[in-house]
Amino acid sequence: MHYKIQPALEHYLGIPGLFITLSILIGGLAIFFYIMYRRYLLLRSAKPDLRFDSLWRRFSDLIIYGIFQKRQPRYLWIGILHIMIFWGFVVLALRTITLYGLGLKAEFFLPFLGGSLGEFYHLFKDIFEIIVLFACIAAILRRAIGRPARYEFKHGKAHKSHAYLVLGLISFLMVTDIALDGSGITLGEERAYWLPAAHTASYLFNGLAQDTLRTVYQWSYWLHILTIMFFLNYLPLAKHFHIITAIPNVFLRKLKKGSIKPPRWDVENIEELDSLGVDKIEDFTWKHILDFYTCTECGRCSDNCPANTVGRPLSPMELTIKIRDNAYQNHPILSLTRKSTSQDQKSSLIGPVLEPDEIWSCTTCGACEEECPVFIEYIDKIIDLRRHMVESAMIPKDFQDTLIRFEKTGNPFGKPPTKRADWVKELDEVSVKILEEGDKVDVLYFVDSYASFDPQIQRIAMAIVRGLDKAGITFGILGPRESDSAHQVRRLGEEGLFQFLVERNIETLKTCSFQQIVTTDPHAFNTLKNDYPGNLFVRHYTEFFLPLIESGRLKPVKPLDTGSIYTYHDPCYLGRHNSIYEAPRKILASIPGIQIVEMERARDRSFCCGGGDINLWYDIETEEMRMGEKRLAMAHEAGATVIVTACPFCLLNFDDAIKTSGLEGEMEVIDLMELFISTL
Amino acid sequence: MDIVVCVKRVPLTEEVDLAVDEHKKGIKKDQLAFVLNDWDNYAIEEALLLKEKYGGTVTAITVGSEEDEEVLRRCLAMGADRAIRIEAGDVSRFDSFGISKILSRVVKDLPFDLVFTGVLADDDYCGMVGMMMAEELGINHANMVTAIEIENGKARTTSELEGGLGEVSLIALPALLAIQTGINEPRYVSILGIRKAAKKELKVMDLSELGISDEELSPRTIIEEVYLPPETEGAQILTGDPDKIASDFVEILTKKGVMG
Amino acid sequence: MSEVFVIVEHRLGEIRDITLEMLWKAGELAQKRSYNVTAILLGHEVSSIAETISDRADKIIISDDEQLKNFNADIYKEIIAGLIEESKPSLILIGNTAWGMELAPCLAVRTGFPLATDCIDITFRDGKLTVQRQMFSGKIFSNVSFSSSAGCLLTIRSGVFPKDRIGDRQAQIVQREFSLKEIPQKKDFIEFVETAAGDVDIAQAELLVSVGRGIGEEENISLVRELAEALNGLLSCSRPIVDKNWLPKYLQVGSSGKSVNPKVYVAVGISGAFQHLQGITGAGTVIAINKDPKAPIFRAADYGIVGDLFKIVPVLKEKVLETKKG
Repeated sequence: MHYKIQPALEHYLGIPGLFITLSILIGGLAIFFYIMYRRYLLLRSAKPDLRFDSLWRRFSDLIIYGIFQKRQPRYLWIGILHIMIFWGFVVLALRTITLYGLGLKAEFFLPFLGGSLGEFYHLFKDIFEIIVLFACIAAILRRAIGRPARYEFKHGKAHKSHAYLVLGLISFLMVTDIALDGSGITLGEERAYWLPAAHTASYLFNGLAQDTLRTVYQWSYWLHILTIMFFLNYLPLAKHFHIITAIPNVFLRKLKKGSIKPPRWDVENIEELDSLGVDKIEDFTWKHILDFYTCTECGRCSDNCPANTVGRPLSPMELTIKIRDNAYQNHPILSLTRKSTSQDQKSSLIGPVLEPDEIWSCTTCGACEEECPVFIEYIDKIIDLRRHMVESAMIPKDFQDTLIRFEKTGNPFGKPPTKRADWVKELDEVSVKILEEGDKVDVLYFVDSYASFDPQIQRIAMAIVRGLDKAGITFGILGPRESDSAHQVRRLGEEGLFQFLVERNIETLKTCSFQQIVTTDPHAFNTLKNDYPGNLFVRHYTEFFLPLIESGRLKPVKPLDTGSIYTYHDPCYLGRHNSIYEAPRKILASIPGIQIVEMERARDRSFCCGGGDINLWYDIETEEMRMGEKRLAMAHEAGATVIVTACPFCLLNFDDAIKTSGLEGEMEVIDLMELFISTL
Repeated sequence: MDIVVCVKRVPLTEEVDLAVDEHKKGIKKDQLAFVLNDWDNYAIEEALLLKEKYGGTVTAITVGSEEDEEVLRRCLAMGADRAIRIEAGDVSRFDSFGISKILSRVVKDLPFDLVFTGVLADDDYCGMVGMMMAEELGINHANMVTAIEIENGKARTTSELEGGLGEVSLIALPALLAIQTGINEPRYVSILGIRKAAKKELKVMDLSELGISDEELSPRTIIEEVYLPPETEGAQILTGDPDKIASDFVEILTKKGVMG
Repeated sequence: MSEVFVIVEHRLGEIRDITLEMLWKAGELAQKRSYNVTAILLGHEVSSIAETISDRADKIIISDDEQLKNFNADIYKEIIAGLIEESKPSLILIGNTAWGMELAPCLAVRTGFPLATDCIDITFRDGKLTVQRQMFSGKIFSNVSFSSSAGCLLTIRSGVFPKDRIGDRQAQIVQREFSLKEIPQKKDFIEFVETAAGDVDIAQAELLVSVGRGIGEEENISLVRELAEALNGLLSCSRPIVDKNWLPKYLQVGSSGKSVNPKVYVAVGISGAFQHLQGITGAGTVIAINKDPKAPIFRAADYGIVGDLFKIVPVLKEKVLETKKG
């Protein structure tokens, strides 16, 4: 390709273009690196994180989620628009480099883009410029006219102006390059292919005087170069930092879903720590701070957050942005006084920036993490904030009593441990073995506290036991020696108590031998699998029973009463956190003649029932409606008359919700195992 | 402001069915969990709140065996500066007279502006040790305290009387105050906090060091026997399915003329 | 002849019921054991109070002094100790009240007499004085006797004995004066305060639905409130609910709260600790709902429902609303 004008060689007010390009490059990049350095400093003063394991998996996830943007189309049309813009960036990157090159050296081209490949690339980039421009304009119109609710902030200020700015800048970049190309063509440059954008532009420029064309050409060029440098430097200052940080953020994502990070990755014994949890921004790990940098304010997390939906003070996006704004304030790029060090800034997050109820509102359902296109983590951060609150005694009194009961009796009810296995006495047909030291069974059935003591949940335990018995499995329960799995305790932030209960359970588990552990509820399953040390082989009853059903060992024969329409609700800790969606559905479907409907929000878009931890012991006052009621309404809307659960807490929440929404008689809730056993 | 708080470790009996032991003079304790006496929890919290406001130290003290150190650790974790345990063998052989004598003898030698006790202990429900100690120590006292303010070396206290009435008094320090529940919201202390408090001072003294005669410690009250509540007539229990019970309920109310 | 001292408790010019209850019991013991019942009345301008009990004691020792206008444990202690020294009574009864619980232990140490508090019965077994009291929030009863001593101090729980007159007496009034200057005045009385009145007065209610610790969480209180509303009654509560700041103090029923006398009192999730029961001695019919069949409330109630209040209360509410509609 030959250019009619060589920006590198032109002179502007006596200054050679080359010099101008160099100034822009050097000056701009210098500023950019300085800004990045300042952003890096905060990362450096943060706590360690371990993110460089499983490199193969990280690379493949990077391709799938980072390059192929797999999560974007979860919001279909805007997702497609974003993919267009992202791919546009990727493709146009080479053009950008080429343009800068032209400012340094006449007829510059990248080594491999010399001949026909270069011409082909030129066509490719031209098409993409149309796509990107179209996408940007569509996005601007959508924002301005459609005003999607998820971009709004409930408390505080959204930074929507930045969105317009960036969309505007990108559009401008597209326009300037098209104008550059087009004016070049009008000036007589030759192209191998017909370029839809450039050639259209050149038609528009037809008839302009040569001087005008040269002016257009050069203005387009220099504006484009400058804008890129401006854009680059603007990125770390606001929500478009993700353009730089998203790829690393996806690469460094949390691989072990369902688990909670330890208080510190670099300190094993928590007693050595002066403080536990997060109070100031520097208490977060560097990856968490990178998360704050990367948030794009897209609002997808908050849009799917059940707490946010029912009017609780928590909005995940706002939480992130508030913390980010605070971080940028305390660690500014330009400190006008002296260098801001973390020692100076005694900036507590809890209180000044975040309300306690905001942090207690979270049910750890994981919907936010499931949506976020850039893999920002929330749960670990909330738990870290809670850890600090627990250690500083900033917890509601209701939790205190429950935690003391956990400590003293191994269950949240305060009931004596000796009575933990009393429920087995009510089972006439099956004798349940209470494991003693040295016993050997196939399956250790981990009952956990609610199934042991709550009459409604005891029925699930009995159903499971009947199932085990019918299938001929040798099994046992720990009975009085079992302590609560401590799932809730950890997620409440009482790490010391969690460790205490875990140690006790581990010691007890060591005394008997078993092939696997089967749990009543997904919470115990999740924590035994993901939080407990020692790689226990543990399954939730759904995954355990499915093969037995498929092989015919357990055969549902009795038909259910016709007229009931069943829908399955994915529990957060079975579904999202552990990706178990099909096993329960298959069990349900195995019942002859059953009528099933699916709710609109299903599988990884399931809506939390209200939660199986703090929700049980504390009430967020500002709630407009209970999550259970909201979910029940969804089931009702889908045409179901019975909602089937695989988690005791979902059962309790829906049972409550049926009463409080006045749907008694219209809707019922039943546990999957109870339902299944009744058909044998 | 130096405050000494006397605390006691008692069984947690809220959800538990109690059983009488074989001697019939006490209850079976082997299956029970133990906690800090609820009233003492409020007392130590109040002491800590005063310390936070006025400075000074808080000392927690108990009469008991090694197992009882757990409640002292909790007090230290909440913020007490030091703790003292008085080893006295089998504590159940003492009654309130004995306990208050032992505690008073130790407290007498400590520097204090205030001594706090809980109004009662959840196990024996006697409520005597506090006031007895005040008499032993010869200091001013107030009971059932639900509010404390310190002004010019005096304590302005509100004591809870019956029927929602309170009595405000002005007492010169040093004084002993028996603290009533509800005066504050005791802070939570985490397991980690308790473990860290292991580094704080916990002194053990022996009863023999105190020079109290056996005669002074001999019990004045003797528990002859304990037993479960007698099955008295009690309430007429409504039975049947929920609907029947509800109908019976409405019937009773109608008969009493309150159904309007 | 042995004497039983009964320390008269009075406040703001009125005698308190506990005094009448103690006098009844003293009178009953006097009948069986040939005691003389001596009431000790300390105060200022208390002649009307003396009148009230003139037929319930054999002797009333009165000290009417301006300095005795407000109850003061130290002054009472010295005076009573002096009187004990003089008359050597075998038994001294004091109310197990806020004042009594301050006075009695100090008096015990002062005189060296044994003391048992919160007694719910007094008997003699094989000639030995034995009292009955409760432990572990009323879950355990105990019989307590005393080491030999010249006299015994007992504090008596309110509401266990009747307030009636027993026997036929005409008290001999003895006016005494004590030199109070020598008694170190350790506490200055400032004033009485009332808990905030609030917009409802449960003491006037005809029907109360009361919620206790069994409700579990603050948000669940609405369940009970709805039943109260359905019945056109008022919501009240037991002490733990107020301690947790879930309901205001003026809704508390019990010895440290209000005494109520509704026609019907429905106790939901209340265990029946005696302090609470003391507040409902005047209630007409008591209906208790509790999941623990052994809860002390069932001893005090007229009717009981054993079960999960979360299941029962909504059903009751529905039935009430249904009945009222039809």
